[in-house]
Amino acid sequence: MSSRSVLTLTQRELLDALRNRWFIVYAAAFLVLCISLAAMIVNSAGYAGISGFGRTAAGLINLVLFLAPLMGLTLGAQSLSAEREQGTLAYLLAQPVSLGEIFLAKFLGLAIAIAGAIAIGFSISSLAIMYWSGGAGVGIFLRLLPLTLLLGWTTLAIGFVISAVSDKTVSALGIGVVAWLLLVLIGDLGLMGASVAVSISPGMLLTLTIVNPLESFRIASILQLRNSIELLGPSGLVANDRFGDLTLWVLVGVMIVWLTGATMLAYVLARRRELQ
Amino acid sequence: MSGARIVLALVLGSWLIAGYTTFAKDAEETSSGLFHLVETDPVPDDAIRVCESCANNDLQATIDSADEGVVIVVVGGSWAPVSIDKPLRLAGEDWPVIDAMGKGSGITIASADVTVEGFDIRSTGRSFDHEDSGIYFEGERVRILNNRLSEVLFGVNGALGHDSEIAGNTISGQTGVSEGLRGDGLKIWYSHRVQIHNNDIRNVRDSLVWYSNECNVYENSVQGSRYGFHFMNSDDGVARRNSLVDNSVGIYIMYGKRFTVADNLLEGSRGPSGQGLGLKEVDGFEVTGNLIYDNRVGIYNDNSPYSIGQIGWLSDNVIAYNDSGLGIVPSARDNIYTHNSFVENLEQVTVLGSGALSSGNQWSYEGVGNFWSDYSGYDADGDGVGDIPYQNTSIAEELRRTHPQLQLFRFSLAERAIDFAAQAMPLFEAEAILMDDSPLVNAPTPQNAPEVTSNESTLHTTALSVSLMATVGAGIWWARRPGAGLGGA
Repeated sequence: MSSRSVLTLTQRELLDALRNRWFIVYAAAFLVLCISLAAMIVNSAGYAGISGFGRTAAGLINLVLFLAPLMGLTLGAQSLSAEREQGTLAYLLAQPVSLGEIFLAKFLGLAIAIAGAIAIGFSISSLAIMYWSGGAGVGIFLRLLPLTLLLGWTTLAIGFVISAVSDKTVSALGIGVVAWLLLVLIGDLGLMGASVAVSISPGMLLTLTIVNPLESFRIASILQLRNSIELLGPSGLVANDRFGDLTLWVLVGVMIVWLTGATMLAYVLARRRELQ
Repeated sequence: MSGARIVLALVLGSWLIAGYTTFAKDAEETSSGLFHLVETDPVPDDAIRVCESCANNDLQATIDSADEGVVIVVVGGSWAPVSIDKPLRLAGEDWPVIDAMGKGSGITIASADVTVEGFDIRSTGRSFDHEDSGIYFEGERVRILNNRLSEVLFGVNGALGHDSEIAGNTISGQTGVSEGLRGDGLKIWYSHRVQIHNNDIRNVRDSLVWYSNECNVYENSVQGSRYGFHFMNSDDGVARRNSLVDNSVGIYIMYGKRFTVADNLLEGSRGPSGQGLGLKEVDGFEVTGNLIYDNRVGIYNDNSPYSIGQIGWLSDNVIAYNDSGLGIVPSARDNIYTHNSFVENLEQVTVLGSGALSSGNQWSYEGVGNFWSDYSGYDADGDGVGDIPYQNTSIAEELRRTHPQLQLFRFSLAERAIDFAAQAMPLFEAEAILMDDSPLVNAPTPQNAPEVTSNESTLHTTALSVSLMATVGAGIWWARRPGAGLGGA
């Protein structure tokens, strides 16, 4: 594998992302929503000097949970299938580059693009809080940056799996949106319902919940912003008992397992498909 | 190539600056600014002087042979523990050290009218049976002023000491020992009218005022302990302008009557039983002007006031950014809440138990309610009072109360969706746990409470943000640069 061709292809992927209307819309939406949230956080404090993690600031977790997976899943779902549909993938494969190089470059390019969109949204919002409040509550966005990047990349990898098995961009996008709904909403609603209807032990509920990388992100961000998960009731106590100081790393670990697992699966599937 | 070098240099430079600001954070220890040494009486000319190189170099013998009411000045040096059994004044100059070497108490006072000031007392024993203390006293009108107590089991421990004064002392317990195994920083037992002020207490178990009426506790700072101040069966007490930060519980009052808690900072009370202010079966209390910030539960009310005909008055408090602003048991009643600010608490008011709050509480007084940051009404006539009542309803909160395991789904979009559905379809409407019919539209702000200390570094965040933006800018520049990926070929 040649690092020079990977670099060139990554650059091409980044340029494509900058020209991709979907990406521009996501990045813009993310930026606008982050800045409005920053305004709400400053406004909710109401008076100088006091800020903290309140219900408005908690909205940041919702905002990230909503947009980052949507960005990752749909961009990932489009990636290989669009190239395949346009015939550019076949053209590229005819060049002296391997599928592995193309795959890696596409993933890197999109991962960098997503990271850029998140970084711009968070840093401009931090500066906005700084400008409006003079410093109170300024750290909240950047404290969540590493986890948000990880979430974006994890969902991007899942999007690549969808892309690898889809024939058309439209169907890939459809599957991506359904996957997003499942991960972000339906899974939770199901678990909530199940835990009310039948008795599930707090430990079991915790396990079933954090299997979902989005939920791992949510709990990890509460830990990150609040330094404790006593907010999470019985299951939070179980997490404390089971993992103690390692809780954050267990949750990050779940996301990394998803990230690497999905990337490898996507590559294997893409390879099987292209080289048959 | 030079363009690439300039961009790279700019990005690296911004990250270097951002990295530097991480370490440039001020390492200054947090201090509430309340602690200071108090003024003491001047030392008379006929005072007996004791020092290591003086003719008088046996402190205990000097005390034993001294007349009642004399002043003994101890100049520097290191001394064995002493006991005092007559009225006199022991004044340290240049911080004489009393090192108990891990055995027994530092200074033991078994007399009324004793003053001990300016000593550095270290390393008491670890016996809970003997209550090894930095200073132990049993006697009225004892004054413990401006001492430094460190590595002590109990700090200042007094019994039957009416009209005593404990001021300007710093007391720190053993670090590295869990809260429950430390001793009490202050323990005042059966001592009425004691003045406790301007002390700085850190890393101890509790600070207790038990069975002691009319005690005045003001401008103290307590950090890193279990109960900041614990009052039990003590009537007519006052706790004013204290700073209680990062304890398990800030101020806890059990039983007793007519208590005033005013202008205190109650911050960061965390842990499974974290409470800023706890009121258990207290009869008649005034809680005013406190700043209650970032606690697990801001004010915890367990059946206070206890007797019929008593009133709990809570006004002008700012209750902000707590997991739960107020935690109230359903049977608590006769509390009046007026002109308080409830700001951004994750749950503004939580019912601790099943059922609704007692309707015997008043959420406004003479047309003045409270400020609620989640109030969604309006004030068309501009009189500062919202035109529609504030009601605390959230189906998700109610679900969490009836099914505690659902707390795991806090801040999930599923939970938000349920609340949204409940708002859109009143079919699922949750029962309001309280109603404030004259909510304020502007938040009353704290006037006299100590300020919250913020440890956020704005410089660091700014530098990081700028670096991130520079990096993204450089990335875009690189992506648009033809052929750069081929190494400038």
